[in-house]
Amino acid sequence: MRLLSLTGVVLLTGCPKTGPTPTDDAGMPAITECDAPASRVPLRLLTRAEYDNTLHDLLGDDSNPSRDFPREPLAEGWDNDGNLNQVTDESVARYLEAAEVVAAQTVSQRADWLYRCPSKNSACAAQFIATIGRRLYRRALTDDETTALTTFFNTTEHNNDFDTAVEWTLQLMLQSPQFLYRVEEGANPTKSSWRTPLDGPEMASRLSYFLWASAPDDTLLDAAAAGALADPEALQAQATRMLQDAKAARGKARFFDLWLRLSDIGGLEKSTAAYPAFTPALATAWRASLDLFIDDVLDTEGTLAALLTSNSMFVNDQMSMYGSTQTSSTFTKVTMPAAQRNGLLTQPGFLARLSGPDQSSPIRRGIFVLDKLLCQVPPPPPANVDTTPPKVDLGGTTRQRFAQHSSNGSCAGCHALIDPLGFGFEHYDGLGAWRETDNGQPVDASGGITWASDETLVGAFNGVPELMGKLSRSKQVHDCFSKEWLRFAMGRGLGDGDACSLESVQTQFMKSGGNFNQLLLAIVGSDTFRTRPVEAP
Amino acid sequence: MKRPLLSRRMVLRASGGLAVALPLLAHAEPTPPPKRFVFCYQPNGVLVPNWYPTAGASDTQFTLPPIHKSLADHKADCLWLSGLDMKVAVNGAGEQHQRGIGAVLTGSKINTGNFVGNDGTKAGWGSSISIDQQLVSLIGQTRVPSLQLGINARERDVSGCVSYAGGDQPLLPQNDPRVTFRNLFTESGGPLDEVERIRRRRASVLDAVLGQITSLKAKLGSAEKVRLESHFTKVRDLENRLTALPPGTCPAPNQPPELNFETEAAMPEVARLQIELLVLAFQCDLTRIATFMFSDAKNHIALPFLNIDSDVHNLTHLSDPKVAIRDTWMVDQFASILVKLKGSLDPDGSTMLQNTLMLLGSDVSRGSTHSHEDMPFVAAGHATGWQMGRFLKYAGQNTNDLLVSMLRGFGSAATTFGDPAFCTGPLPALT
Repeated sequence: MRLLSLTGVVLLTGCPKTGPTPTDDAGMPAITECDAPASRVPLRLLTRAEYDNTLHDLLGDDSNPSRDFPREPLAEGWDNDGNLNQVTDESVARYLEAAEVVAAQTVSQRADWLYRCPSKNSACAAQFIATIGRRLYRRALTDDETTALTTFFNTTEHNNDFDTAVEWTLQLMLQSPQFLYRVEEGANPTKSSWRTPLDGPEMASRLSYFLWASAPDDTLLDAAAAGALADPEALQAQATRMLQDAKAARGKARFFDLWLRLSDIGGLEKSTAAYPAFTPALATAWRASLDLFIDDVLDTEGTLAALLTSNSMFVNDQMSMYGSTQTSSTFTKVTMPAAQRNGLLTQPGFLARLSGPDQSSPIRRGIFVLDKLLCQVPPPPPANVDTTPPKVDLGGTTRQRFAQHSSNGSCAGCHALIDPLGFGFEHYDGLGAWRETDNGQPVDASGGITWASDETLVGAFNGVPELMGKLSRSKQVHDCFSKEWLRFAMGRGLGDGDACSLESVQTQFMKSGGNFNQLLLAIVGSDTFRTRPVEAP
Repeated sequence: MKRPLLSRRMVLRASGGLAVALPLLAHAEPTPPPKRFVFCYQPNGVLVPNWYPTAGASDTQFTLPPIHKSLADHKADCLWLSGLDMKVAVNGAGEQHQRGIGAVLTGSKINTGNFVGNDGTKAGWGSSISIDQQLVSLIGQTRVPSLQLGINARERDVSGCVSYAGGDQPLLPQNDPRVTFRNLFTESGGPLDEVERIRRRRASVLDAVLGQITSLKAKLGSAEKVRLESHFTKVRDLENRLTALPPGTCPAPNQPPELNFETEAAMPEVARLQIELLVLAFQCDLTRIATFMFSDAKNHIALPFLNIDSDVHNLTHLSDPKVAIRDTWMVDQFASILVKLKGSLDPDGSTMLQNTLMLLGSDVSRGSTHSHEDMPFVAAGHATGWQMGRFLKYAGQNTNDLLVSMLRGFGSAATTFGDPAFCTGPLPALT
């Protein structure tokens, strides 16, 4: 997926930092303790991405075994909602198939991932069950589990042979709820509080699925078993270690995939009547280019401001409409004119996603800024209102068509919030290419923020670079981003009981100058992340 | 590209009504043929002016518009319905598409939740059992109790689901013909002793999985126990499905080819393969109930294979004439199932269409207004004893009345279905 090699990297020329300035006391994230009731998620089923990453890390499997699993429902865009993700007849059938394929391949091709014994005897079986059981169940096996697995292994070996017993036992573990769910019930609740700390292995799984989108490694499980994760500072040390591991890129990638609906981009289809230059290969390039852009921001400045303002772009031979002269399918990093390209929201794939098949969409672009950057979702249109985009053949510029379309009656109120934001993007067509004219007339990219809780944002702007300058400094935007990531971390909607933790995370993110790693550490340190709710004190 | 799933020999046997429906043939005494139900969902309403037949002197004398031309030869097997209102979907949580698709087979309002609709509204899943699942207990105790099939029906939320085992228990459609195949034919058609060996292994592993579930459940709280009990049931049902029929009962045909099934261009091929598998499942009596989604209620797709290269969802909003082309294609798919059922015989010599009820419906009546009045329905087949070959005009009765009529047609004594506030009892004049 991200195996594209980079050649001829053009260095980013000094672009001024526009984000919040880190403050001196930004160092170690504070540990928050907020005792309040919060909503509870019974059991969290592994998502497809988590399933694949887990089997990659624990069994060396690269076969994308979850590819036929049912897709997760999206709760406000997130695929990891603990309430919505439940097993179905369909999913148990797919778990069976995947377990059979993975177990057979692991035993025949990668047996040393499963056991390393001089001879295949009962001691070797016991070692296999204890070691692989602990990794897959993400905690030491209970006596009951060890007994059941050992009995199953011995019976199978008796009727077949040692390798068959390993294979079938692996199938069994991979279909057991101890593997498929993240269980958080271990520690006895202290009945004096709304919250109770997670036990060590539960905390290890929270950490690893949050930071790595995968299972804990042995180091983390050892720390959990030793009780080391109960201590907030030791917990931060583990999180810091994990953020330095290459696997942390996967955890962040999951967040960005879902936050931006990146998975929609590679398969986008456009009208070739409106856009003769469009090919499916261009859509594939959009996705790859955007992944490289995000990785680049994460690997360099690692801040929200850089994400919103970097004028880098990754281009290949499919992308000549963006000024690329690349003749190779390999991507090259280039620095674009800052007046034209400024951050994530000016990346071609992203602009193309927030467009119709035959025209740009000021509405979808405006709503994205309101919803995902300002956390100010406009209310839905009144019932029975026609929400169809205006027809392209009506003539005039896109702006003129949409202005007319949205000006009537009960719609005007919300469109007064949405449209001025979206019109600021009018220099980018439905493929995200820069344009000076639209349908023969000069582009008007003047826009404005009509209302925001951060009053410094309110006012006119011209074009996206100016807009991004405002947004990348805004506390409201940083607070909104913190909220989205905390929601992703918890796999459930946030409620009043999370307010104190959220506020603490937001404060620390702002203090860090909008640094992503500091945000993740702040989430790990928050009370919401380190505890689970109990019924009542 | 159009490689048939079945060998020529199997198709001949199937169309002769001979060797394929083995479970029934095993008995010397003729048993009544199974009853079946197929619902086809078409998204975003129809192009109303082009949809309804032109009424004639009586309800049997009417003229079909071009959209229904593929049903013209089968007029006597079909029933066109107009004047039914889905009043239950007029307001409540969600937007009109979400409310409509969530109600079309459940007859109930959808739940509140976190699914973001086309216009930013939020909604949850459907709130009660859908009619197809209600029929499972009445007519459908087969190895696969019901099939949910899709053609590019990608939304994993209320906009992408018509079937519900109960409130908040969605049964989402399967878009990949290869996986549909695997759900029907769980083991390859290899030698019988090999099939037996696979079955024994799976039973052994799944029994042990059940043990692990029980062991974990003992330690958990009540909400977790509910989840694990449901998981336990599903694993046990899977185990039963895998061994429900003697090995070799229904020889598995070739697995469908791997194709890029969630693309616009692949829709005709996916439709062809899914329909072939559906009919085969009926012929083998692997299942008796199916819902089939021709895309979903939130789709923003073009249909390049029909030379429609802009967003059809938007075209329905504009009542663009191209919508008639799409409607024709959807009716063609419906007709293609009908024709296959009509060409297959049940063990007693009746056609499968005689023992099936098919229904085509949508989430709204027309995209231009998102109205739930005058919902477009076409019924086909004779399982419920309705008098077909007619164009019936109702006067604003609830669509739930149609649902309860279906239940009764399949032998239930029910007097209401779905939200009782929107059901006044069975429709008159069907039989």
